[in-house]
Amino acid sequence: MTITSKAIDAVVDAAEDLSWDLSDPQDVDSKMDVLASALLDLGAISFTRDEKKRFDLYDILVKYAKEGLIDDSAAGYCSEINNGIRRFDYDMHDGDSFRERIADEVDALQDEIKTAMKKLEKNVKKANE
Amino acid sequence: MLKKLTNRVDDALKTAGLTWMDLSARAEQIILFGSTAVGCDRPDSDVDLLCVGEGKDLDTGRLHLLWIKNQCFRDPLWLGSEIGTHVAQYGVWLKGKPTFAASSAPHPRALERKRERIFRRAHALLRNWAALSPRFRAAQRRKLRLDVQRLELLQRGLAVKPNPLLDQNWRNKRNRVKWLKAVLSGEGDLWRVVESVMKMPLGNRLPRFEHLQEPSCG
Repeated sequence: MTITSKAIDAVVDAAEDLSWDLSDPQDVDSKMDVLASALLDLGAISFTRDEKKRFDLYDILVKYAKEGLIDDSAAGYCSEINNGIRRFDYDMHDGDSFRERIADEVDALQDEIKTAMKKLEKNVKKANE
Repeated sequence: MLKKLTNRVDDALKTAGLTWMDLSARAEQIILFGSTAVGCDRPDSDVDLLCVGEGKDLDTGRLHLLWIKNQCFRDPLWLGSEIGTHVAQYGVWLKGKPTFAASSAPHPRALERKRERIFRRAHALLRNWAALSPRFRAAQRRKLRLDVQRLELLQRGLAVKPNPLLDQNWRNKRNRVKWLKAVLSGEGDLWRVVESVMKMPLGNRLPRFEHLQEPSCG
């Protein structure tokens, strides 16, 4: 499968869109799936049938990291954001705001995704020369 | 039975590089909840543990650790929350003993929060639908439907059931649309927004309503 600049841009856009409004856990949760969709559409790696049975952004980032396409820390940031979403989902947020809890992790995840996509775009261009 | 559960917990802890000894040393109480506690888990289900004490939440997809402070067990808001009523009804104490009633009615705030979450998720999905791939559309719509099922249980003053049981109940429903409408009709704008999400196409197809396809994950 060919990796296109358009697909890379879609991943970067989805990552940037994550921080657009951090007040709503359900909105962030759906945007995490938008990012996961863009990473799947990118086609940089393939998933086995077993892996596809149940996977989300965290699993995708773990696999990207195993393939050396993104830093290991990206999955860690994703896990922290998921923790925040689930805690709010269970109504266990101890009065902290959702934004405060996840803002740093969202920034860090965005940085990792952007760095990975820059590197990937460079490699794709090099391969096409 | 308990041996089987502790083996399942040990395996899940291993995937996160943890051991029962580590966790047990840090937590005053450890409570298994969710599908594994009820025995309706699937091989790919995660293990949910509520730990009482000071620690960091963890969610690896295989292990879900939630930490709460001991005071929560004396807080009526927590005891009447979705998680509080679920743990009271279905939780299995792997360390320590229950210090609160085995069943408690959901607090009105739990219902209020649930309505709010359904409303927010439905609106978020309407905004982001076009950018979601079909499998994530189905997964998000399942989350919305599960929340409506949880709301219905809370409305009836019952504890929320684990997801595989809710999925099973859903599969057994004869008229799903009618059921959703009945649950949400007295909830202001909720039915209108949820109906809009349910009408959205899962793939590149014309909108349909009745099928409500979903993945079979637990």
